[in-house]
Amino acid sequence: MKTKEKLIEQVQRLLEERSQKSLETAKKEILQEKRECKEINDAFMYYVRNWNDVVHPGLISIACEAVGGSADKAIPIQVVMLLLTAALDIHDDIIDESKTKYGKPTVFARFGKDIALLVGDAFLMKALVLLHKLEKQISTEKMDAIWDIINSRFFELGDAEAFEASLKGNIDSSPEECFQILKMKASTFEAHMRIGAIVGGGEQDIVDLLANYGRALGILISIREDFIDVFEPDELKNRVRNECLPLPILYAFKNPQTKKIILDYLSKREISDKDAERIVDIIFEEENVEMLRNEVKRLAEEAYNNISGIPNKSLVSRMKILIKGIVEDL
Amino acid sequence: MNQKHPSQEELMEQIQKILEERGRKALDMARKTVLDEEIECKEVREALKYFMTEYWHDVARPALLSLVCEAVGGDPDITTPIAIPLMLISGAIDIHDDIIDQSKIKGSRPTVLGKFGKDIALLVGDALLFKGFTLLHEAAEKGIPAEKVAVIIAIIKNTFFELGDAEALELQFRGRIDITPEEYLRVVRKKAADVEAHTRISAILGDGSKKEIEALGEYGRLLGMIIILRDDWIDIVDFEEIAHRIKRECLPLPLLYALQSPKTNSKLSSILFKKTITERDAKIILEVTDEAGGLRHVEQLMQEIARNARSFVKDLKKNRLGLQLLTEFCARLIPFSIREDVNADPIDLTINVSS
Repeated sequence: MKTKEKLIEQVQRLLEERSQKSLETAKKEILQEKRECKEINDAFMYYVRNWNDVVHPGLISIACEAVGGSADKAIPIQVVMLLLTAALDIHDDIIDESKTKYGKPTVFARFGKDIALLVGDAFLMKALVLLHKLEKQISTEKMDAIWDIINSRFFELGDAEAFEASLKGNIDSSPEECFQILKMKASTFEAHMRIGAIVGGGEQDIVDLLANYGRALGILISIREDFIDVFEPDELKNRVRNECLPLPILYAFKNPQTKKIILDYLSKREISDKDAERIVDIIFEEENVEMLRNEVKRLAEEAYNNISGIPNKSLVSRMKILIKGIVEDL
Repeated sequence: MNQKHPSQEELMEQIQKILEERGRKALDMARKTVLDEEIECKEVREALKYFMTEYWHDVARPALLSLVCEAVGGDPDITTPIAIPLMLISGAIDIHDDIIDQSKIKGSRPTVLGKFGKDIALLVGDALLFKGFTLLHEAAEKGIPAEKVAVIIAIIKNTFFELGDAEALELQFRGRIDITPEEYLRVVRKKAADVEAHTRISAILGDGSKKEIEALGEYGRLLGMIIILRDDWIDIVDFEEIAHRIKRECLPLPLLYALQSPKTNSKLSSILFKKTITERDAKIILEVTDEAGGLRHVEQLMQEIARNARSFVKDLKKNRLGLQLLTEFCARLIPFSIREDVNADPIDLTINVSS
């Protein structure tokens, strides 16, 4: 247990060190816009106070350094991507009707759909405006590539959201369909790695390898979140109503008997902590969930292989820790 | 030389023709650009297609860009690479506004929200905003100097934040009958930022002088206000719209004016707080508002704003009359009032129509 804690702490520290400056700048950027409406100002303040995304800027920084670039060089693009990710996150919460995240009410839950929509729009606008400003600092060739990546990944993510929305509340969705959505959603992680590597001046082949690492990492993070959601009764209830069911449950559903037992719990008006514990026990005993675990192992291997050729071995070992930290207790 | 002056109807037709001629190319190109995007999800693809081909017929914005650019001596064709992203960004704002206002039908057509639901509407709005900005990045490659693109983006950003602020302020007006016309007009002015952005950007693209840019910026702001007030006027005479405004949005200005009188206020408040507004209720609201002078007040205000707007374009080298007529066209509820200008300068319009 002690070793596991250390691993997660290492991962957290690794990402925090690489994200602090950009996160502070992004907060300043979004708050500096003047607004007359008190409620919308409060909503911005609320989001910014709880904003602690260290993963996305951390990945950009890692990718930049992996190709020999300086981490500081990546800060302006980290700021842009932080704002962009926040925008999509806020809008995603409206679609999924997510009331809490990481134990705190979302902007949607606290201020309602309308304010959340406007706040998300403002983040999106600010991100795109700052991206334009980078054209003075980054070469045209690199900027063209960055616009292209953001544009295509954005549309892929939108597709994933829409696909997911079409499966809302459908308990008969197949694990394969939901896995596909998860892969599409991981496009943002791929994009962050790819952009970091481009800003750092990487050659195309290494940029691609880092991007593949990013995609695998993104999928693993989502699978981890799906496992965590099974343990959280409130989150689980929301997933039943407004999103796809978590993957471990969908894999468990491959066994019709298990499906029937779990559905009895999920159809209750309230899912108690005890119910959630029972669902967890059933899932962990279910043989079909082993298929998902095998997929996790395969993805982790794939991620390792993608970065094995990177000359900066110290960084490679930290990138491996990142993967290990995510898959360790699955 | 004796020249036959066109009637009011003919002038209106000509204005519509100008908008169509000048805005059509950009609209078609915007449609093609969006429809060429590879989108895997069938529903999003269909929603984008619906919005771009069946719902969104906005020739006015690109036409305004073209007219203003030419008015300061610029080549109107140079506005196209900017007109397309601006149309997409405006479309995105419109779709997201519909989600906030829960507007499922506009005119006789279902909105994207009405046809595809909130989730898809949100995603389509985001996609258009994104595409719009990507195209702005490409505008530099299409002949717009990079420094101008930077200024244009700054204007778009400020406009967007002003519109967001207006929208948020308007949310606080929902379901309230104690809003003063002054409070509401402040929000109307903010909401008109969109049209000011178009005229300002276009004057910059056409290399207008600082004075021309400022004058055309203010012209756009006032034109935008007229358009919003005209919608307010129309909304109060339309049963469906007034019922929607009472339940989901801010009350229209004629009604706010009427509510200033304590007598009218007591007559209307019981209806306005009803759970459901019937057609008969809407009729009473209209009659009482009219008796209290609410409609007349807005008409006079529109006239005043239109007069003010026209004064900002009176010194332009070209298209002066076209822009003045556009103001008149938008404020068409008010008596036609610039016949003198038409008499003074009929050739100007002929040039505009044919150019």
